Amino acid sequence: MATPPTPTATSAGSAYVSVSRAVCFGWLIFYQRVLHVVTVSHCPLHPSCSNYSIAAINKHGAFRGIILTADRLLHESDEQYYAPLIRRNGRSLYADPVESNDFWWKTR
Amino acid sequence: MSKATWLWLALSCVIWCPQAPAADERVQETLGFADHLRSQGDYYRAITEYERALFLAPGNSLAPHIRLQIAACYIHGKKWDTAVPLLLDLKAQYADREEGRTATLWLADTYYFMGSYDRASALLDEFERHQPTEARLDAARLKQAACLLRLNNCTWAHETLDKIPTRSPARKAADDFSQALPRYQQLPQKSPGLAAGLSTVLPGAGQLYIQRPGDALISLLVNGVLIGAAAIAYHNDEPVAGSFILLFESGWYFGNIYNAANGAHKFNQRQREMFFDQLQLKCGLFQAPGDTPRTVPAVGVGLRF
Repeated sequence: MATPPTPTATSAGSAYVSVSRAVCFGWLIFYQRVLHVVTVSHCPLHPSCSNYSIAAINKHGAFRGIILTADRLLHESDEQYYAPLIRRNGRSLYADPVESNDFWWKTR
Repeated sequence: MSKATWLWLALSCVIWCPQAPAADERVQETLGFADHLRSQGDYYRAITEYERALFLAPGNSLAPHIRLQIAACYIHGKKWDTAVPLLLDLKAQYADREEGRTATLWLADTYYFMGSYDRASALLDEFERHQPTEARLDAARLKQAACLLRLNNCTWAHETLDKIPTRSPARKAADDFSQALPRYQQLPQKSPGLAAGLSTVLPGAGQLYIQRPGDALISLLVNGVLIGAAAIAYHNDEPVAGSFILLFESGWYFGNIYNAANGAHKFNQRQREMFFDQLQLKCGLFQAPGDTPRTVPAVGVGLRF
């Protein structure tokens, strides 16, 4: 089973997570552990939007990560017409990792 | 000769002679089983068996062939990063042998699958220079043309296809490829800059331009509601609430611009992938080792690029 992404230290390898990242991760963990439990609907994409956000912030930092998250939330409905269908944990989901949305950046 | 010498010779024959063929037989059996596993699609168990064969006869003349098969299994299993060093090693070690040449071609395939088109192209170029009489040269040229097209170098791709002689079996595929080239240049494209610009002026407009009406509607609604809420808050003398809403809105606004540009890039990429999928289907350019190219018969089928 694929494990969801977890907040990690900055890519530069420093031992601490920056304040902005810590705030973002705090919200996301609060959402995943508290709010997500009481919500009925499930994200049709893989990874889920919160895991996508964690992966985006881990990869690109807080500012770009937030923009990528907003992009993800906006294209969530339309992406189902284009993304490949995969099976995860017995569910059919549409694959939409961070790499599908930053592939055109010149520097990664 | 003394009795002791005869006895020693006889014992040597008994001990050593039957063992050599037995070891060879075991290697052959193991290889047979590994090939069977590979044909069944059980690549990782096949790798274990190939490794066993290598362990049983490390100095065997089949060792390069076995290592090539291991690399093929990794390619089938899409473990490109593991296959590449293996193939590089084989290419360097057996440059003058069939295994080395095959490793070079498989390495180019692997780079292509990985999306490293420049590396694949450079490798195929090197193959052409060093193996001018190789039977697979024309197929390699076809692959190189595909790599060059992926790198948006249409002219060079055309020149590479022109090098394929008329009598070559690859000529038919090269002609199909050449005919498709102008269509590649006319693929419908969306400008990411224009999409982003439209969404900067009016959230959702860029998304409409890239034919994503769902994204456009959500973008317009979210941004409209949040900007409206911020305006109401400022109007009611609540600057803190207004600023907080504006801060929240800024993420959505920039996300909307990014969404439009990203959508345009995805649109363009999808068009290119569709083109290359059809090209692959028609010309059978790249396939994992051991796979037969799945091409569409020319008669009675009209593919639209």
